[in-house]
Amino acid sequence: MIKAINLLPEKVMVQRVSAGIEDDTLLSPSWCYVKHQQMKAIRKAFKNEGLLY
Amino acid sequence: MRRILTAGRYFREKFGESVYKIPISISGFTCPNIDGTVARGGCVFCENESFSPNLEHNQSKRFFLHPTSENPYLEFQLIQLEAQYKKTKTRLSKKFGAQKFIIYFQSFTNTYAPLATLKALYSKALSFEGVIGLSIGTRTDSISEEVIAYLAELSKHYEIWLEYGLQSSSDETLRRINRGHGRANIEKYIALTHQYKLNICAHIIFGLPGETPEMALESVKFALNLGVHSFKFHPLYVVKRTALAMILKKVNLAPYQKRVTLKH
Repeated sequence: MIKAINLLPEKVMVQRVSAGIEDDTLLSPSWCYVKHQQMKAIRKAFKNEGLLY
Repeated sequence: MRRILTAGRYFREKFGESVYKIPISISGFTCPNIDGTVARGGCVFCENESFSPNLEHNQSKRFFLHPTSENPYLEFQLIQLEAQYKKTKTRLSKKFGAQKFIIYFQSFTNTYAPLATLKALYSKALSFEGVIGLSIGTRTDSISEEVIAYLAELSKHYEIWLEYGLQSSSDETLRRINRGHGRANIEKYIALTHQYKLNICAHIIFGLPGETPEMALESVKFALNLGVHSFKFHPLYVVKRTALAMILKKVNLAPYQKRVTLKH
């Protein structure tokens, strides 16, 4: 994901970087279950690479 | 620190305040790789009724749109559209004080219907209070120049986005996920959309079966070279009642935890 973001010119908009599904239809991967935790981890990883989401 | 141009930032900069998307699902819409036009079953990751055991039983009682079909349910669809708009607008207004909205036609293929139906739905959506534009989720094999030209006219007065599900730039992957079209179709219709100066958002899935992270990056480069204005990156997940779920059972697939080879 970070490599993908780094490919983009600054004027290109990023509307989504996550996939969350908070119901029992999810089979895998389990980290998609709680979207706010997923976003927290993604934001942290971005920050470590100098990216502000 | 580089600020990624998120949708929130883009719309605040352009309109001076936050703009909220209102997702809409209209009954009767389907996809050409579900109804048999280009394939059956839909994309392997997509939950749809093709995987319901009672599909054959229900099929005669259900109505699905096609670009050349009649649409006896338009009035019902317009009522459905307004009801969904009102419900979400009320919630967003109370929670965030939202005043500006984009109607997001999200589920299935939202240009896969007669032009008269599309015009009726889009113009109705644009008539709602606070609505400044549309975002229309669709496929590059389900858009016509006629529809693009109509949207281009709307874009003179409204914020109009076409969201194309690319998913991958690899013909092999597109075949494997039962997409029903290839890379050449994507190139052709994104170029046509550009001719009409419409905003384009590309959806790319990371972790598709048989794809490496490098292949996903190739898809991003491919879309960039086509000049798209925006991306939605989706990590693949597997949900019940999909072809991918059946494969998961057989091979213990876990997206971005294990790789798997699919044979068709």
